[in-house]
Amino acid sequence: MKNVKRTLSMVLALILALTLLAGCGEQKETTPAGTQGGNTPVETTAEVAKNYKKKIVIGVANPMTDDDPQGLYDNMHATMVNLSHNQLLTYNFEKRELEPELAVEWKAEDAKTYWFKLRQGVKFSNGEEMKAEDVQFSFTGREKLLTESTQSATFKKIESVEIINDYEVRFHLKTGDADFLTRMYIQTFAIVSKKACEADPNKGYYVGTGGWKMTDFVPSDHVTYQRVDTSWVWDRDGYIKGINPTEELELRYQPEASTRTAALEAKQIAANASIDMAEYDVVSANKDLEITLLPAEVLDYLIINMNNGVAAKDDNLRLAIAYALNIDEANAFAQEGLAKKTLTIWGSSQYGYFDDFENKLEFNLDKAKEYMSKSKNPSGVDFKLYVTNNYEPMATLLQGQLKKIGVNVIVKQTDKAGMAEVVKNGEHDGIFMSITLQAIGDRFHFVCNPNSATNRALYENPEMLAKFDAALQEVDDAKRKELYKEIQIELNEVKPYIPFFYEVLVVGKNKGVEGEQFLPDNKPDYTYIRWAE
Amino acid sequence: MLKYTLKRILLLIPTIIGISLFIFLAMEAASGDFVSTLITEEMTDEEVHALRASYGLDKPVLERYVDYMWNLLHGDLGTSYTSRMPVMELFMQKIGNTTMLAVASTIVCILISIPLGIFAARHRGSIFDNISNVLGVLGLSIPNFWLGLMLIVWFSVQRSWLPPGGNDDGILSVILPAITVGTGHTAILMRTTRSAMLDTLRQDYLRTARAKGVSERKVINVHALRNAMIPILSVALTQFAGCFGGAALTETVFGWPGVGKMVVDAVKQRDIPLACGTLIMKCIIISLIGLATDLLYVVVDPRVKTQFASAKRGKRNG
Repeated sequence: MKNVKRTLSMVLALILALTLLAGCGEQKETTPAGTQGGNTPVETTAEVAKNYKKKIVIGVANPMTDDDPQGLYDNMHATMVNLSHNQLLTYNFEKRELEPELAVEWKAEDAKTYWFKLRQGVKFSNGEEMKAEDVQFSFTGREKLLTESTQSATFKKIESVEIINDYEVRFHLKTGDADFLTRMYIQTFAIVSKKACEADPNKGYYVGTGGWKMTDFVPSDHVTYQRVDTSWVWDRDGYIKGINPTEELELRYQPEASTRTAALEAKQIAANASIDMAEYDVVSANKDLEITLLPAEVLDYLIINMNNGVAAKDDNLRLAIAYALNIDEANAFAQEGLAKKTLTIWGSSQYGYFDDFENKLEFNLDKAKEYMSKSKNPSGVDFKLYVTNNYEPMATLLQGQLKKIGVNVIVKQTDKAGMAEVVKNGEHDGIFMSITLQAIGDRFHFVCNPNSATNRALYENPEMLAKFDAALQEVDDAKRKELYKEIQIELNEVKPYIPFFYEVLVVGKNKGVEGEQFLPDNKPDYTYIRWAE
Repeated sequence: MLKYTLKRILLLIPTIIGISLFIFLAMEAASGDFVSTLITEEMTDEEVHALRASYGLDKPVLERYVDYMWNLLHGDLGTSYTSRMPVMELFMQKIGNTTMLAVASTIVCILISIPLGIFAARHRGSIFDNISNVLGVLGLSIPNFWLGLMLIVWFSVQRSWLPPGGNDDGILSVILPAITVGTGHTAILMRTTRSAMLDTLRQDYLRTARAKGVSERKVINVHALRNAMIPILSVALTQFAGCFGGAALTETVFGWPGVGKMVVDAVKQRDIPLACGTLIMKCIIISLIGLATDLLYVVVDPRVKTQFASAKRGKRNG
């Protein structure tokens, strides 16, 4: 018995030692690649097609809940729409400009009138040709979009869509919107078939002009697509020569990041557009995978309650907080130092971007302490910081940083729905979160608007709001950019928002997978994805 | 017996009312509603109110609850806010997968724990008994979440023997999730089997059987095990029923398309009809399994039937 005990003790000690040793791994240096690749055209003859898998599964991080392309707008649903539908325009993130999609020419006649010439010969998945009446129907024919679509604000702006002929339309807006053209690349403004929707109001919107047609939709589980051989997208220059050899595509909801990574490594899924940064070292060492770091249009930032928060009426406290935040350290902690720092909340691809401020914010603890001593609570203050669960580690880091100047951060966790309620009730002093940016100049209209449901800083500034409104009516480029510049300078001075950095996305695919487009707005397009066996 | 069964079924009515009311109130107490999850930066407060009204969320909670119960009385579990599909249809899409996982994990659990429990009881105090105790504690202590991920790494990523998730590969797909769920259950059932067998093995009738020359295998497998079966059956079926409500974590890790994961998503999205409808259906299933367990006692142990009969006679005789 004594011997058994001794042996067991030795075995346990050995296991413990091995476990401790396993934790002492070498840190790997990484370099951001920052490319959106995979568009190498391939000639897909019948002979070539035999070398590719017929079915591809892609793991996705968020649940698919809505099958209506014009309903919900988030990363998941935009990814779905990218497969089955097209918009009038598309946005090229590399060139930072709008490009033709279903419209080949377009023109802003004034801030309220927009003309589009449609691509001819585009067929819906039901074989019907897309014409001007479908565009008209997509924007004004579905009444429920005025209340149930998350882009209802834009649908409501449209007075009418005039059909000039089968291939030309003119939009008349109720109020000027200089961003209207840019909005037309947003996936929610997909073109649906009028005939199909009228014949079947419940599922008719499945019929789109994209390369894939939805065949099975199980909410919060998976969505399956069948290739549409007659789609115009297979004739598009620069993407593919001939029809994609993949016949069936499935987007599968895999909420757990480690499971998605394991599925990628086990070759169950072809690609994963949201690999956890913590797993980057492990997956990048796998020779069977191609892992890319993609600079994203996703901004991490701190929001300060300007209405009833502890820093609302205390300019010195806000400055103290701003100077005490070590953003480089936060970058190293959350993004392995790979994220790009920013001084403005504007996205780098966003219309009107400006960051050449006179007062550049840099981490400076002495300055922070100086401002703290001038604040209303120089001896210290409690600061309620709300975060959603995924930002809890970051909140803990900020807690440590702000403690050095006597700001006692009380971290409170909630989820997306809970956060809306927190903002509504003004329970917060601050919120740390991220926002996915768009090319639209008016993206931040909400930041000083008392009527906005997402003005999380509860910041009211009628003059700034007037500038936002004026910019939206302004078709002169220089004047419009000047207005956005003034807004950004003012936001930098007042500091209701403290921008941190644009996130880097870790995206990955198996070797042999081509044609995927991981995009900086985190809404990947898998239309041309194929997997050589 | 029939009266007892009917009574248990009738008890479902207040249970359903209680559960649905609790879920309605609990989700109302949680901050934010379904529309809060849809708000985008461009929406004004007015648009949010309009959206809320389009889902009927502007009505008081009790009014919504009464509407819900009225529809439930007509067999309508409601329509999911998120997918706009009937809750019953969504539930039926996924309950098969959850049942498959529950059955498979229970089989794994029974196949391992009962033989181990009997062996440990027969060799009480031996090194094997100690090892099985340690394994039992280990099984209880290992978090499902961690075990699931480790199984995926060992059997899917490193060896490509089994799929890492989903349910595409038929029976192969269920093996890892079943082991994950079954491991924790195995530890409990093994200990229950061991202690039930220890109690039974002390009984005089087993000594008598042995003295009469009955083989040891028959003594254990027929006489002892059958008498020890009630606690074992009770625990096994409770665990089986629990799989319908408690395998959400495993379903999430393996991307297993079951109702557990669906409820978690519904709660996150504040989809009250989906959460409420699914939990009501789960409650019915779990209650029916509980009833089936009670009825099975009669089959396994004739003494229970005798107890029923004598209770009935006692009542008749005043």
